[in-house]
Amino acid sequence: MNNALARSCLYLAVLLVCLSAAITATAADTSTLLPVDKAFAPKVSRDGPHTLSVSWQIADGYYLYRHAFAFALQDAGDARLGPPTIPEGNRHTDEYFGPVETYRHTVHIRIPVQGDLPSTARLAVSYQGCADAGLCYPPQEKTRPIPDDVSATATANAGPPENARDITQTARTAARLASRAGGETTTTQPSNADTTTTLAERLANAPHVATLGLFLLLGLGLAFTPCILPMIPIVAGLIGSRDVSRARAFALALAYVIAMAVAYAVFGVVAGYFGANIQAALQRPLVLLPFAGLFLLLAGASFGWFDFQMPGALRARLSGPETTNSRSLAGAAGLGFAAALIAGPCVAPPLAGALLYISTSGNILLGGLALFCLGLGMGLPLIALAVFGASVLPRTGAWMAEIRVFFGVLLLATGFYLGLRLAPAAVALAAWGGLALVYGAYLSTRPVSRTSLLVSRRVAVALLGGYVALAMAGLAIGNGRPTAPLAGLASTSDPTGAAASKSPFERVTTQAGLKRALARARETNRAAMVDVYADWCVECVRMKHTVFARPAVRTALTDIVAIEFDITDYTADQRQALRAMSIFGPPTLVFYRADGDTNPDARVTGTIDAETLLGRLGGLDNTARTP
Amino acid sequence: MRRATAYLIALLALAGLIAGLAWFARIASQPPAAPSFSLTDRAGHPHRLADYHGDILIMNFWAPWCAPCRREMPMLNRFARRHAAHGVRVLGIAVETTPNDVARALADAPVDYPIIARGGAALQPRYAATERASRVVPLTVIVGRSGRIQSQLIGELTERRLRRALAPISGDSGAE
Repeated sequence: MNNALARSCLYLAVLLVCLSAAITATAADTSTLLPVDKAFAPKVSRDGPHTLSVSWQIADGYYLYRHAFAFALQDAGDARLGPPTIPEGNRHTDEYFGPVETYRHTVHIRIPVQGDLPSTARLAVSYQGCADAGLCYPPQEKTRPIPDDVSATATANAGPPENARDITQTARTAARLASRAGGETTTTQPSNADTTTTLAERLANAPHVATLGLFLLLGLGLAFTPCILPMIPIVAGLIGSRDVSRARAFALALAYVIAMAVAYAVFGVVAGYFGANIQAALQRPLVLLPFAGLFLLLAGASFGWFDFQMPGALRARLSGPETTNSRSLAGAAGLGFAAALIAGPCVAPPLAGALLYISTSGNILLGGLALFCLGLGMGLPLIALAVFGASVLPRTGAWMAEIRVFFGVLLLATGFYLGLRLAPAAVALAAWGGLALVYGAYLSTRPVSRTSLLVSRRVAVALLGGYVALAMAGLAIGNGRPTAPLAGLASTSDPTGAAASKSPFERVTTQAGLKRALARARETNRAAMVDVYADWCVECVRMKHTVFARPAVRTALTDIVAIEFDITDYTADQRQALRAMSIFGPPTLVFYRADGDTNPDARVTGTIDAETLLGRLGGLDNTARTP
Repeated sequence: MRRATAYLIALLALAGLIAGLAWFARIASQPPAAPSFSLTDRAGHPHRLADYHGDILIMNFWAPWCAPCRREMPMLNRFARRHAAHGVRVLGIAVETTPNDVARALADAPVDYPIIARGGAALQPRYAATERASRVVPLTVIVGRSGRIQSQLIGELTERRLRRALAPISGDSGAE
């Protein structure tokens, strides 16, 4: 039996290897094309007190044009650049451009500086180049700090905005810092602010095996989220891996996990291919409420109020007449498929990342496989439990009962998290406070054997009690939210509270309205930002109360045309608008330059923090350059 | 019995995988639908994807500062004229430039096919199959008669390269 199983695993492994090889082969076309920063990246150095030098290492088969070189000092006070000394390049006559000079392999340019350079000075370098393969990169402009004073430049102006006068200055600094971070070969991502975009970018750039590995890890990480972890013991019981041999348990778990992974792949690919808004679909009340109910039910099972089993008739049908004493593989697989759908709302962000990639690149195979790996990763703990766990997983014992209760509370919390976003803030606050109160009270009455446990229990009870107190206070004051029970206190004592009620956003709900607002921005030659928003999108609401409520952000937003595209109703018209803009769903920010163009970098899918947003907003007028 | 069960497991797993693979292969082999667009060319005529339904659309992303782009345009112009009767149409989309630079470039070397000088920059990343392809010119995307992206050609085109890319979809009435 074990031999046969091992052999079947081997088959699977071989198939998967062949599959990934096949994928890698299909992607050979563009992998030979270097990203522009690999083809030619400028390096700025200082040759002396009054000489700067800029050099490029140019990849084989790529070249730069002399006529596209341009240099400018920024924040340099009175210092000025003299005429640069550019070495002679390869001259030839282009049939369209006339005589041109090009550089290969390396080029080194010296620029004299008149006057004294302050430590904050930076050099903006413009250049443009092409590849022998017959293609060109757009004109580049990179702003680099001038070395010797690197550390001083990086730490200057890093303090948070304290008063309104500093705000625009800080916004500009943030923009510069952001553009510099982008300039420096883009290996570091600007924090986890826009996770889905980053994920999609990584998918687009990483070698494919690494991509699949990444998703496997991601899945493994997701397995430890409150929505999935507490379900593992329940699932282990459900598929019956406790009462059978180890090999059988492994087979059952494997069937469950593969079915779950296939469900993710199928679900994701279908959604991605048709451009459906997966996050929105998973966040409609009709979907959320049954899910919330399901989690409450699962919590009940975890508390031991009732035993979770498939209905007898269904089980008999699934397992067939002869295997009444052992659970069937098909049953396990069916459960796995269903479980994938149940956990859907929890995995929406990584799912959206994979889907974004599928829809923008059209590489459905890789996207589907990535989701398959995500599902596999999520199932790994279950498989481990099945293989090693029959003995590891105790059925009795006081601490196991506590774990079950804890998991039950986690499941309840997940149900609350899903269901209460539709409820008024006060109701949600009361519910969370009630949960904390009940669990705290429960914990404080439990007997504890060891002193170390006693201490940690006291801490937990104190924390829960603290939250209960805050929630009660928040309910009394009013205006509280589960994440900020005392928010009402701040808003009444804040003198700017009156101003805060006037949003810098122009709210539109239709495609036509959005187009009109953007057209007005274009006519008045102003940059614009569209915030795709919905009431049912937790992150959108959170950003509205935090990021967009910051005075610095509000000021920056009044300088441009800020449009809130409210898709709460999620009408056909709104869905069509999202499709047209290839947007997956809220929260998404799309930035438009003053000439009405948007570029691929100019959007943030997922959440963003205030500093990054200010950087993006400050960069809008910079990008409105004309090459 | 136990051995038989083990074989059954292996068989089921394999069948599942093969079915999944077949499914993926079928989906993957179907070219993606071209994203819709609505743009106005230099002459003021509107261009929408739907207008090209039933025709083969060659979308050429280019820029005035790009020598390979400029070199391929006369060939594209000839190609469009020669195969117009077969429903082959070319649409030039200028990116990373200004309408003035486009006008200057076209004054030097005019083409007959329509050129979009504004608003095309947003289109390239939506049509490019990869992130990198969305950042270089020339990029030529071929949209088939049923509105699906048939192929994308990165870098300077030759007539031979273009004809080879068109061969699978042009059929009897297509190029050549």
